[in-house]
Amino acid sequence: MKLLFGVLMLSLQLLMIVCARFDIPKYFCWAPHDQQCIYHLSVTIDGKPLTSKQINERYHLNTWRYWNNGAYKWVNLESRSIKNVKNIIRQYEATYGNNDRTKVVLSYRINGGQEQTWQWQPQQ
Amino acid sequence: MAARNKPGNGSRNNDMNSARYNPLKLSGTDLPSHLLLMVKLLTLALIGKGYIQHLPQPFLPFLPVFDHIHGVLFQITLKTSFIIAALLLFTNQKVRLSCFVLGSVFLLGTLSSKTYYSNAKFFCGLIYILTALSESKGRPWLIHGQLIIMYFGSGINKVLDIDWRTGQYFDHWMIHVIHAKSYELLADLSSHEFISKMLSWKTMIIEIVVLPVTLFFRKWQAVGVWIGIVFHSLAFWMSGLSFGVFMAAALISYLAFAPDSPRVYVHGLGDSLLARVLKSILRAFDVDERFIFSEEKDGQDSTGVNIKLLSENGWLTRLNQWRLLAIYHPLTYILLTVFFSITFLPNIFQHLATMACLILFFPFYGAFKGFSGKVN
Repeated sequence: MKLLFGVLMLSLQLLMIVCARFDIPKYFCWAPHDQQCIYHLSVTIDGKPLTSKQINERYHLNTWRYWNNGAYKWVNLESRSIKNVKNIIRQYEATYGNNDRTKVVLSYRINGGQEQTWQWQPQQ
Repeated sequence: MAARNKPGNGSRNNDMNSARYNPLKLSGTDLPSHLLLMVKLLTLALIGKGYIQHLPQPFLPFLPVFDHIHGVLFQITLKTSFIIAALLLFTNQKVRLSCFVLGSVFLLGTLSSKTYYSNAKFFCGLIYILTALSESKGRPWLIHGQLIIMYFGSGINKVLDIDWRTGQYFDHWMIHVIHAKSYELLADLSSHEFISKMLSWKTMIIEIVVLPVTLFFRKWQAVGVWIGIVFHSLAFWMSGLSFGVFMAAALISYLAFAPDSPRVYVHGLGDSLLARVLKSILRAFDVDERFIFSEEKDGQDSTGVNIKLLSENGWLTRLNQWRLLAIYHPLTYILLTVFFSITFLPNIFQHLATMACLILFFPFYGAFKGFSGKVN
């Protein structure tokens, strides 16, 4: 029975590794440093913009010291997948922030590539 | 030797009773001694890195049920459970249950909060749980399997990403996120494209092929462990990052490949002041009394490992005997864990620990001429 449970735990991880190939956030699939995503969030609640500090506190996000153009600056960094950030925002706004009438604009670069944008706003 | 092993009198029984709760005792529990050492060191590393303080309250959980649990109560329960389980583990009580609780703390903490999630915590939780599920005898293949899956999964995720294949990820990471001067120097000497691609593919090949294959086959596991040490050491030296507790946890988990602790006969240590001090230290950390010190230079005992510190087969052989003494003694692993984990120690200690691992666990000493240090 114990061994069966152990084998089940290992098998679930193999399943998650396969599932990571699809368009889902990368958790439990051993993708620790797949992407380095530098991103910037603009969040408004009822039309009022939040500061960076407020945004980081809202979603419990961390910052990292980033070297660019000869200087360091503090940025938001996701080192697994940008889908994880999108997933966090969606889940927060669908649950804890359900009544906030939030609009979110996520600008990001994956591994220093082209800037991309993603938006979230409450469904009417 | 005989005096240390005589049947007990009253004071000897008292010694045995007090040793039962000694954190340095590794035998006499339901877990093999190398696995017990592994989980104790992992716990030490987690405490040293401050992971108890950061156990979470539920926030954006993977399972919605956690949103209905009182946040502060949940956090206090996790912390209390960790402390109690760690105490039980260190005092050799209900070791499997303790491992299960410790693993559950990290897995439940992870499931309760997406922002708390990290591969390091996930890995630690799994190692504890799989240790609790491992058989008392035989190889702990669940833990072997876990390491193989971890490396393979990590490598597969990378090789299927075009930025890893082209080296773009590595170049960006090293220059902008890490700002590694060693990498920039290397890249300037050749080209960014060449170096980043080489380092990327080195990483992927090691994770997908080299480590899973060498860790799978028993006769290659010593080589696989050393390659793993090289792999993690290079990552640490280039990036300056130990990735939280992950590097320490990965290296500690390699104890799952060690044989169960044999008796060790040490010949020729001598009777100088330094030798007596060393013997006292070694004995203090050898609560299981596996180390037997003999004055005979050429003694041999077929029931365990023989280490001959005054071998006449050259300085390299004598050095290798000291290396064997180090790798069989638990004090080595305690010191390495402390160096890797205690956050207020300067970074130099982690560098020393990685270099020590590379030297101690080098598996090819037998290939050097003049080596004759056979172990049973």
